[in-house]
Amino acid sequence: MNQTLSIVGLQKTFERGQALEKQVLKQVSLTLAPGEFISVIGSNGAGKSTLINCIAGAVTADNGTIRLDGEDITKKRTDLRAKDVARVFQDPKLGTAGHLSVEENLAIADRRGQKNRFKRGVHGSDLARFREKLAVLDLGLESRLHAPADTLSGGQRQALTLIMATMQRPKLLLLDEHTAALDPKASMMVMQLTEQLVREMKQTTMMITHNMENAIRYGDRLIMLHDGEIVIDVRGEAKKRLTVAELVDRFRHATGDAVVSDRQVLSGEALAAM
Amino acid sequence: MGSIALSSLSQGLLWAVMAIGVYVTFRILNTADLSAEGTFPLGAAVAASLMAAGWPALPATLIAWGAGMLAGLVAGFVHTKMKIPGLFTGILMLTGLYSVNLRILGRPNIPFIGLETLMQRAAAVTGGRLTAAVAVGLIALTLVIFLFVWFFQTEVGLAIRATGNNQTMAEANAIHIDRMKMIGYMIGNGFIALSGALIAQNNGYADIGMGIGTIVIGLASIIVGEVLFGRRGFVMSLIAVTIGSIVYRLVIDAVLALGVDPQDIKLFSAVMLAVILWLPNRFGTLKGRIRT
Ligand SMILES: Nc1ncnc2c1ncn2[C@@H]1O[C@H](COP(=O)(O)OP(=O)(O)O)[C@@H](O)[C@H]1O
Ligand SMILES: [Mg+2]
Repeated sequence: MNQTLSIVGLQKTFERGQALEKQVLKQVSLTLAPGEFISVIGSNGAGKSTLINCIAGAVTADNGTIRLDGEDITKKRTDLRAKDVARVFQDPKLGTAGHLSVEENLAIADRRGQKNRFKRGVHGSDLARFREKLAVLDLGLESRLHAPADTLSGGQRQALTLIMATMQRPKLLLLDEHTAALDPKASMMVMQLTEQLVREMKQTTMMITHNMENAIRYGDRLIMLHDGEIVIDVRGEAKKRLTVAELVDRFRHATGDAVVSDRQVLSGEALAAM
Repeated sequence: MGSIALSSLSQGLLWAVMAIGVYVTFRILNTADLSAEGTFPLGAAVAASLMAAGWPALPATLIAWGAGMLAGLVAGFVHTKMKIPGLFTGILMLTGLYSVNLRILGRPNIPFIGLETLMQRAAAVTGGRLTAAVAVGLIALTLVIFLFVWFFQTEVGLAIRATGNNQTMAEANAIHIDRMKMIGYMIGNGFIALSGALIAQNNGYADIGMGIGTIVIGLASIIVGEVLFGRRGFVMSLIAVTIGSIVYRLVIDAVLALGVDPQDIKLFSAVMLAVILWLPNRFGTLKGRIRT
């Protein structure tokens, strides 16, 4: 017990019984301790997003259980678990409502999980707190509370989404390649903000990343998914000493597949960095 | 000529209430809800039959509004709980409501002869039939715009807007999407039925066929308004819809004044909407103004 997240024997097959049947999660078991920050890597199609979608409720697992702080949430409705499970998506457009203003987006996130009433949505008394949160970003958003979210840049929107996701402290924060769609500078900014928020709040976090270096640099623990299974799980000192080269090596060893090319494991970026 | 303009103005104001209802489902919820074709005559039928049964105009009109909200709730239920796509939901609703409306009317047409409509009561103050219609239109429209602007800034209102704009975001923020859509359907169809009740009284009759083309008029008003004014804050957007509705009426009335046969007017409306929708795509300059 006392695990924040506890996944046992998770299985998911898409297009079951059809020609395109694909077992995406074969048998995934994983526990996350309170405050743990875990990075998830793996080649395209390994099942990373499916895993996160099962936890968030966007995809229903075929078998296995997911417990959050001891509560079985395997079949819980998505919007009901969203109170405890916050998400940031790869597409910066998905995390905010583009037609709503920055302050309206924040107001919605600020009330996550509470009952909506016929009272004014943006309270004047909240604005100072909103501004304070935004000022930390150093992006000037605190003076753009009335701007529709779709007038912000991708990086600004993603930073706003992160603020929103952590506003009502969730039990678990799920990040699915949340910097992948950004330019390098914005990507770095959002990554640093992520690190800062997660550390300050001791926020239990699962971060999928396409970038091996980020996976190594950030987080207390690193797992690699391959073909719907966890093939590498490193933490503590071993995680700190990890290098990209070593990771590739371990991947080959773990999958027992010597012919696998680096390209299957690594994104172009990480390859270039080697 | 002046009286034609005044007539177009009054009609435009009364129809704008309907267009704002369509705006709720089309722009806020992001679905083209054809239920309008059934809820517009529903409002007319409820008001007419209540008044024929001796009810005063005001409560009859308000109950018609409520009937529209009820129909919206049914549409919302069909769409969310039965998971039927928005387009089919609308088709089911307008088909089913045709029978419901016939039942309520009891016959295809109820005239308001000998009944005191809201317009007649207003005429006692303004002194003229057209000015009375303008006055009723302005009052109803002001009320609707006020309610709209207030409501869509409440907590529930924000949740509905988020749901229509970005369902993923809404769900990730623990918003109960189905419930929000249902409320949105209710608000929109309530306004549409209210407009039906008002226009029936202004025309002097409620008719089973009066819903045909409602959605075309609603969409045309919205698009015309957006082409003319772009999309800005709520108040401006709704005023734009209102002006779009008046412009639309002016064009229709001008065409009729030019001698076009009234029975061809629906065809003309449809062609006009097609052109309105096509123009911004054809000529890129306006394109940015219409966001969907
Ligand atoms: N809703 C779905 N229906 C069918 N197949 C899906 C669905 N979602 C994902 N898949 C398939 O499952 C596999 C794993 O996808 P995903 O979990 O997104 O991988 P990753 O995020 O690791 O790249 C892919 O082959 C993908 O095509
Ligand atoms: Mg993915």
